[in-house]
Amino acid sequence: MASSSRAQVISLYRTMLKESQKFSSYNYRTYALRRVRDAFRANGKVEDPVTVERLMEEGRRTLGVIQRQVRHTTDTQHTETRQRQTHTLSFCVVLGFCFCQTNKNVLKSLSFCNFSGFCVIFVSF
Amino acid sequence: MLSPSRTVSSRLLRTGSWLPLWLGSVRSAASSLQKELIKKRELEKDELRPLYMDFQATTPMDPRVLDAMLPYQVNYYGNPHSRTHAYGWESESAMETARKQQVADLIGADPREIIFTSGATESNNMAIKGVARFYQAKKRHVITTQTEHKCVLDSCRILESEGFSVTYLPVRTDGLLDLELLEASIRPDTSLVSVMTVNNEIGVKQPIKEIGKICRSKGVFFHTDAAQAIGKIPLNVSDWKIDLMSISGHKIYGPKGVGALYVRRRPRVRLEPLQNGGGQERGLRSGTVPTPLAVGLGAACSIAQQEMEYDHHRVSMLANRLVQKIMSEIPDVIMNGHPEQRYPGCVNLSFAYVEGESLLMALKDVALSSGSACTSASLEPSYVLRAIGADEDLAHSSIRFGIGRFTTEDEVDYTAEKCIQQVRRLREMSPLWEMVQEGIDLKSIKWTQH
Repeated sequence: MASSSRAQVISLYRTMLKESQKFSSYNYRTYALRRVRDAFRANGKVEDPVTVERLMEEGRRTLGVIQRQVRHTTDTQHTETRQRQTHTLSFCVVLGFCFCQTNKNVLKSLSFCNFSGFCVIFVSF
Repeated sequence: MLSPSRTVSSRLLRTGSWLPLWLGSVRSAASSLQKELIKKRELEKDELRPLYMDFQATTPMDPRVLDAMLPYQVNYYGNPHSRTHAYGWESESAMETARKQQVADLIGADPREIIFTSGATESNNMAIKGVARFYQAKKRHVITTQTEHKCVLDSCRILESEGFSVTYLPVRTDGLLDLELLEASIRPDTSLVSVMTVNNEIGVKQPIKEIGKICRSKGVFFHTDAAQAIGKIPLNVSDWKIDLMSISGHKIYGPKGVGALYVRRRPRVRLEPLQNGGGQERGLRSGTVPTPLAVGLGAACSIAQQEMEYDHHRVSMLANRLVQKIMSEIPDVIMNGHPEQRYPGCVNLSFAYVEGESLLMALKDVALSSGSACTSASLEPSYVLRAIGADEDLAHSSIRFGIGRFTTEDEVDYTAEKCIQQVRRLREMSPLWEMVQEGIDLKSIKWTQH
């Protein structure tokens, strides 16, 4: 099997860094970025194609680990809060449009806001 | 942050006087909605978690360890002791790989000498009580040190109540054990000597090789609690003549709830088992071995072996950075324990004229500890610091900084700066500091009238 070319090595390095950026935990993210960078730097002078291939295989395996663990170590509590906030936010933006017609029929807009008000409450709880 | 809802609810409130009464509920519901959103915003602010600088208490799990464990939690869930089907065989094979290629390899042992337990506390209990009770017919003496972990000291206390005699050896002011004292304390009826490799509070590394040689020459079993040392410094049970060794999973970036005990086979060490049952783990520790945890421990050990040099270099660099920064900016800071014979990642500093608890509270956005986690609930200063002869007031003002694989330079810099700032602030408020600045020698003051 042909040994990996320089372009392939660099491509793997870039992909690993890109995936490592996705860790939501500060400590995991900084460790992954630092370790990937230091490992590639330390092995930069390796000439023997068999060793290069072995290291590339190890790198691809680690890339798989990073990709899987980025998904698993996402902080679910924080994602939930943000999702609920965006829900309320989008609904309120919609309501905001409804209120732009205050100059026109006040009573009509009042009935609108009653209905929308109820909707806001139901959606956010 | 935008809150269009505030506009909505305020609009509702303003038009509220025009609404009929039954719509008044809309108004109150809208203001409670507003309150909810404000509360969530405030909670989010507090959700910025502190920096973790307490790696001796526990360590976060390495993502590679989690990756190795997950298949055994989800898909390959068989009992490793089931002999009759593939689920059992695959679990057993994973457990044996963990035992052989990973744990045993790290310490230079034979895989048959590794017993999986629920943690270093169980391993310590098994080792001390097991060995002492097995040989109790002829040998009734056990030796340990005053700076051991609470589980070792407590096991020895139980042995004392069973009629054994236990010698608690004192340590020098730098935390190291005096070898002549140890040799002098060994009696013909000593069955076990227990000395921990790296202390969890002051980070001191005991001269295990020399102690092993002494014990082997006198025919006494040597047990060491290597929970803080394993995976961080190179260990070899044959070179160091260790007969029993306790290993903890969650101190080496592995899962919590698992550990191991190394029990030498040549020359054979016999133990009386603490946990009886179906004869698993060579009859020494019955009970189903938790495959995912064992796999996690194995993965943690193999990663530690690979990363040992890189981590050691990095941790030493960060620890030096922290200590240099703090000591160059503020006077009267003492590092507890021997400056060279230590594991660099555990830095225990005493800040004179500052109270430890108040400093910990002032550094509330850094997770630190003063003393070990198991003694943090009591108000007494740590017994380890008392054993090394630290003054009472210095023992109260000590903080333990733990640095590990995931610590960054920014975290260390922030901790150092915050520490310097808070120590200066607390010393400004301290009347003792004022007196010292004026040149009064605190030791010469008569605090009470006799």
